[in-house]
Amino acid sequence: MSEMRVLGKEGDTKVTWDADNWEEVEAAEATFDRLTKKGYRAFSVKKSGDKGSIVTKFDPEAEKIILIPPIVGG
Amino acid sequence: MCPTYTADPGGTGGTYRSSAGTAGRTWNTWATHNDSTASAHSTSAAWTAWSEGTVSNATPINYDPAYYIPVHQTPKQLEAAAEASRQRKEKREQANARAEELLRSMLTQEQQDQLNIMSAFIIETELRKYRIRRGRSTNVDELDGSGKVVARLCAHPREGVPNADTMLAQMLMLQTDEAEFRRIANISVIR
Repeated sequence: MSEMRVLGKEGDTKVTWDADNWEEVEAAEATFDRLTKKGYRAFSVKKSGDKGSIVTKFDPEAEKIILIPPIVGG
Repeated sequence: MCPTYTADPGGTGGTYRSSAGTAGRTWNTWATHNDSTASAHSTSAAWTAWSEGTVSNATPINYDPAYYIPVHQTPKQLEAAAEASRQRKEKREQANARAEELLRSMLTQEQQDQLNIMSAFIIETELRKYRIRRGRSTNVDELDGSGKVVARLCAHPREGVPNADTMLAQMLMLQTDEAEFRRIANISVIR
């Protein structure tokens, strides 16, 4: 089961999908596309400590994707 | 001590009179910056009036109804407000716990130990070493080879996410696009 964690004000929201279930894949992809269009950055990550990689296109085979809101200077 | 407020019968809907004692009248003056002539005063005059207690007996107060906060609520209203506050606190704690769990799932054991001991963890990019401290702003330190802080960086998610989520976002950005993070961040060089 793959998952997407979207960071937000009330903590992260988890979206899961089974790569063999096209409805779940479509729903997850729609969320991914909607947020990346709003400026969210997506990172495909694996085990702890492993360096993630930026993704710009939804990958249904990804283990875990983390979406972070736009970063601004403080 | 909270004063009571009653609508001024001859008023225009936005005027109230205080019926409380000295403490209440003083509070009224401080809160509304008015004096006995109902003219707006500067903040410093209001402060003087408050600290010296030099307030007349019946002080007309003009309130913008949009900003009027009722000081007396029914027991039911108080109970509802307390419950709403409790729920907000619970939501915040749950959000923080989830963020902490997610952050720790992305750290090595060494980084988790660092987080436990010094409320910070260290990451290394191709070019530099950084320490990410707990917090939201100016919490990223650039370290030199000896571990000395040479610069402080401030960049965080635009949304007010839990601090652990901020730290995760900073780590992911630095690891994957250090140049962009440094371009966005406000950087203070430590001399």
